[in-house]
Amino acid sequence: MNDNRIPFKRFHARNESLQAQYDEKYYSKQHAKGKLTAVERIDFLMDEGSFREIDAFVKPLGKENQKEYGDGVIVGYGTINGRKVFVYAQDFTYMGGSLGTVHARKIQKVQEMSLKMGHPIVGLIDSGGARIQEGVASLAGYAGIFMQNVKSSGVIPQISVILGPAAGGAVYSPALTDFRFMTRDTSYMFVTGPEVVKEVLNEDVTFEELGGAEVHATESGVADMIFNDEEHTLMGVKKLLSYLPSNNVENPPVNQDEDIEPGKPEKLSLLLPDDANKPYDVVDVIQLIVDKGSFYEIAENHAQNIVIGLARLNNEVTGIVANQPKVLAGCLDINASKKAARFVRFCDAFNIPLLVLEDVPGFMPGKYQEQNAIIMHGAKLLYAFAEATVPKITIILRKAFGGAYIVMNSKNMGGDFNFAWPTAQVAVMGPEGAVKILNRKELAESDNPEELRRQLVADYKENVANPYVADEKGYIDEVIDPAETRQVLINAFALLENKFEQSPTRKHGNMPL
Amino acid sequence: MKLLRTIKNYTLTGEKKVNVQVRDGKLHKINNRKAAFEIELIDNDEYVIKVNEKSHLGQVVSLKQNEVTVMINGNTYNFTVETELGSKRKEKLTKDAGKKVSKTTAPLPGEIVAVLVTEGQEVHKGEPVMILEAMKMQNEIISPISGKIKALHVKADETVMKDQALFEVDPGK
Amino acid sequence: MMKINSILIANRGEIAIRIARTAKQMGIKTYMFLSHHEPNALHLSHADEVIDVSDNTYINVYTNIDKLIETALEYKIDAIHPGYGFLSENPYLPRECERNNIIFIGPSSTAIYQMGNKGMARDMALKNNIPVLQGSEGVINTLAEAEETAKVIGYPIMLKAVAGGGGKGMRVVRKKSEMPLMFKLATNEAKALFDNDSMLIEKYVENPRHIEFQILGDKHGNLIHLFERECSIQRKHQKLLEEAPSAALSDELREKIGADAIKICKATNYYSAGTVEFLLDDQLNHYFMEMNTRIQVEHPITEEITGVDIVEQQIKIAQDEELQLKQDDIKINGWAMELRVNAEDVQAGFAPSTGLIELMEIPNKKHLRCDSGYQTGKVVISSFDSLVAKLIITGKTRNQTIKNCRSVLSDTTIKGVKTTLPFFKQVMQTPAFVQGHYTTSFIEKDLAQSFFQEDDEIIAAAALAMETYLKEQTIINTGKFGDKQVSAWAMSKKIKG
Repeated sequence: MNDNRIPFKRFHARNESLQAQYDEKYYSKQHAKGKLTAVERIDFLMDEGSFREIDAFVKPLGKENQKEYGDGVIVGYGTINGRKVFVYAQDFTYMGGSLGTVHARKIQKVQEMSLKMGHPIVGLIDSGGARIQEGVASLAGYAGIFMQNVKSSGVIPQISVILGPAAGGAVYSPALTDFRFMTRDTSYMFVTGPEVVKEVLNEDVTFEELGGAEVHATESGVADMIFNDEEHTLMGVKKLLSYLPSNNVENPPVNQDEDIEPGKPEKLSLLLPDDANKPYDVVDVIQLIVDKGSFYEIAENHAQNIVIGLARLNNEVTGIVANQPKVLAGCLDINASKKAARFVRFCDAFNIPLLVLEDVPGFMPGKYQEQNAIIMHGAKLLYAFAEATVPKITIILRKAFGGAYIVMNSKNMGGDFNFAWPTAQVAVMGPEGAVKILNRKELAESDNPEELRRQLVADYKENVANPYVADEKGYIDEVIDPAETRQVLINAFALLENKFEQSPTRKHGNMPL
Repeated sequence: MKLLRTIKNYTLTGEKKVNVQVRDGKLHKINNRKAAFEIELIDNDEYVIKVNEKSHLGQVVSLKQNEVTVMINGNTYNFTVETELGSKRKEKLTKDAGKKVSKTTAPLPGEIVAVLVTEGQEVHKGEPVMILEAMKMQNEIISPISGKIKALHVKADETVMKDQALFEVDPGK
Repeated sequence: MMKINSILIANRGEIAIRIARTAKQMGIKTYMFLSHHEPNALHLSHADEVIDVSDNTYINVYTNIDKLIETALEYKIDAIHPGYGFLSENPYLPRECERNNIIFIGPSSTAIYQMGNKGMARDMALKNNIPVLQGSEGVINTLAEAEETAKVIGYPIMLKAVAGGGGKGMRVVRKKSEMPLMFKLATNEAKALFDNDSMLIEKYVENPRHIEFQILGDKHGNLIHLFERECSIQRKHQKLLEEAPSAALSDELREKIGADAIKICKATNYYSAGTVEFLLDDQLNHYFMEMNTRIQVEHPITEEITGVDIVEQQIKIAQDEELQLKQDDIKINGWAMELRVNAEDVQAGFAPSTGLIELMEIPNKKHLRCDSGYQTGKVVISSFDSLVAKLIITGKTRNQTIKNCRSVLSDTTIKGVKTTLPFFKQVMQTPAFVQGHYTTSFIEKDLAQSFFQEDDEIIAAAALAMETYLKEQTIINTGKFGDKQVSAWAMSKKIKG
């Protein structure tokens, strides 16, 4: 029953008129495009009844007399699975979700609050871009949001969920955040749209080709996660949050589950084909090491030669970086280096220990790679691992050759533990390549070069390309039975719980960007 | 503000469509029939599913977002779970968008022995695009739709894994 | 006469084990290879001596004649048995054996050469008045020739690699427009497989039955047949299920075709075990197709109904013994079927399904013989064929055999890789098969589209899928996580700078 005393009358009336704003037409406008409304999105994302909206009644500058409240964005806070989270959701039904001064101010307000209070922030983006009517003021609004993004970077997790268009300047806020989620068929991100492309370059491109979810999830890698519909996109956000601490001082949440054993550890050694040049799926290896069903792969369609994701090991969150032998033999290339480096830095910022599963034949050779600066991009991964102070463990499954071996968190790059399976080959290069260089002369002079080459390769494998040489020199801490991998890792990470490392005081390092 | 329902309807799409009704978080009806079934976990990852007094042996192969693959009695079933909203959205979008670029992946691991087309070439539905040799047998990989070859992801003599992307066909306008 | 004391088995898997079994009974020592492909293969435990060639990853030992000869000489092994596949029908192996005084357990180099070449075999049949399908005169090397010949014979036609076998290098062309592509495919495949892209063209009979006769001959001119096998359950010319005898043959017809089989073998002075393949059209006319000059995968069903150990006969013949069996001694006793359990995903068009066999349980039954090169814990790899096990099931009558098949199938479990087991379960329920009225188009024609599905299976699948999905959704929506206590030590050091 509403309190009918004067001060409360107006309070209720106001609330009712806000609710009235969300009428049939409001829903059907979005639904007609296959999209949900901002209200529904928040409903799906947040715990039931937990969402508190702030600044609900603001109106755009110079339009204080208009009926609609909110200026096209809903901002507020609430809980997701009991953990506090700030949210903003742009409302495409109001002026195409365009970003005006007040709209921007509202977003900045929750951004400031989330940083001050140390809770994650999720942005649900569905906006046509800057509000042209408000001119430079709306651009300034973007600038303010970007500044807040950067200030919060590495302090609280920031997640951008693109559920409609994000064009022009609007794309840079998601770009500055930790993760970008997109929904198939209804979300787009691009700096310049198809019309401009047509005008400037006279090229015909579709929205999909230019900035569709599929393109960003596979080619550009801008989207970390892609989903079939909005509901599952939001579920994906919830799932991701369950692995993340609320801020950079907290540790990630620990599960209390009991049924976590992945089972069948003896299968691990059998996953690797007998032939060292045959591919296998490293995700199968991960699944047999981490807690049952806990592996949450990130960016799985982009740079598939490296697998990254979050998982739990004995209920504790662990970041996984693994070479994927089934794609490009697991070679490191530009995209793989960038993808992994970014993830390593994220994990380091938020106290998530790192587990590296290594099977890498080297860096990807070729003109394209070199001309596009594989040197600088490969260095990013190197820098990221070296700089990371969280617990870092590497297991060498098979190949660990040359520069790529160094990069993948090797012992001397600060890896806390380096383990190897008996199938590991640690060497400067693979047997075939090494023999060609080392024994060029003998091979050229031999009567039966094929036979000699075979012999030399066998010798090289026996004497160099195995885990024992590195083990005996201390570059590997221990050669382990694949079946005991999980237990060895649980023990090692427990040992590292109190690890601390300090880097010298400085403004910030100069990362090879 | 919360749209809480105790009854939810889902559509599982795959080779066959199955409608499932969930009441209070539990399976209630399948294809509009009150389901008489039990699911029992018997091993690490194995289930016995009793349907109408008959037992089936099942395994969960993978769960990714809303895509579930299960194996029953040795047969694989791929399902995409659509909520009511999801189904509506799908209907809406297919109506609006018409045809989409079609991507073909390798049905089995093997070696690409020949690529029969070039990028930009017109192909018809059913026309062979590549030849994949697996187990010493040559398999034609055909174009699923008519259109233009938008991208070729592999070259001749390349080894491919199952499900690796092979080519894309753009149906055009 | 030369007594064989040791055999080098130049093969792997179930056939290596099969040969070793008979060799053991005959007191012959066996040698097998340990290759890098399968260092833990089951067959190795059945050999008296294992030769480790796993260091040498550059060659496939089973197809390398030099390596075989070199090994036999080095270890002083008397004989080489090639099994099936690999070098079993390569005329150069027996020739090299002869040159190096090694006994080849199989036919003569000449016989392999003549019968292995489809054109020559066909000419031989024609010369001996054995019916053949209308086809090209001589080999075809160009598309133009192929089109020309096809026009004369009339579509549909079959393109066959001259050097082919086992269904490889064969394509059916139903109309002129299909010819260019099919020709390209067939020649590519033949080039890759046999290094010879010459083709033959033959009239293609729709829905024929595939009947083959098992032959035994010695080096003294004696030839008998061990009756027929019916192999009409095929997919892309790969046999999946064979039975002996055939439900399609009357005694009269059996005698007639058997006589033709003997006739063509006589013409080539054939010795050792061999198989003559015929097509049977719906008018019960038979046509000579080709001859396989080796032991066949499906030989056990003949062994089961005749009681003859074919491998033993091969060995005896190889050591110049005279055949003790007379045609009149051979009687058909009961019925036998062989189910080829392949590691294949039936639903994905029989695509190979490699990987670890997590569990393999084969029941112990008196009407079941299982020839297999695998067991629980072994790995099926893509480098070799996908045959996991042969279930050879017998019974007094055909009906009894089918019943026995069903009972074996319901008690057989293989986990880890997908197999053709569900396929056979369905075959045993399909009327066309049960009644014995089936042809080589059985799979396309008689098996229902959802042949692999039991009733309600989709419901069970949906239930499990939905349950899995809901469980995940519940975790995502209601998961509660305790925050972790950070030790003061770690806390104080956590943030740099």
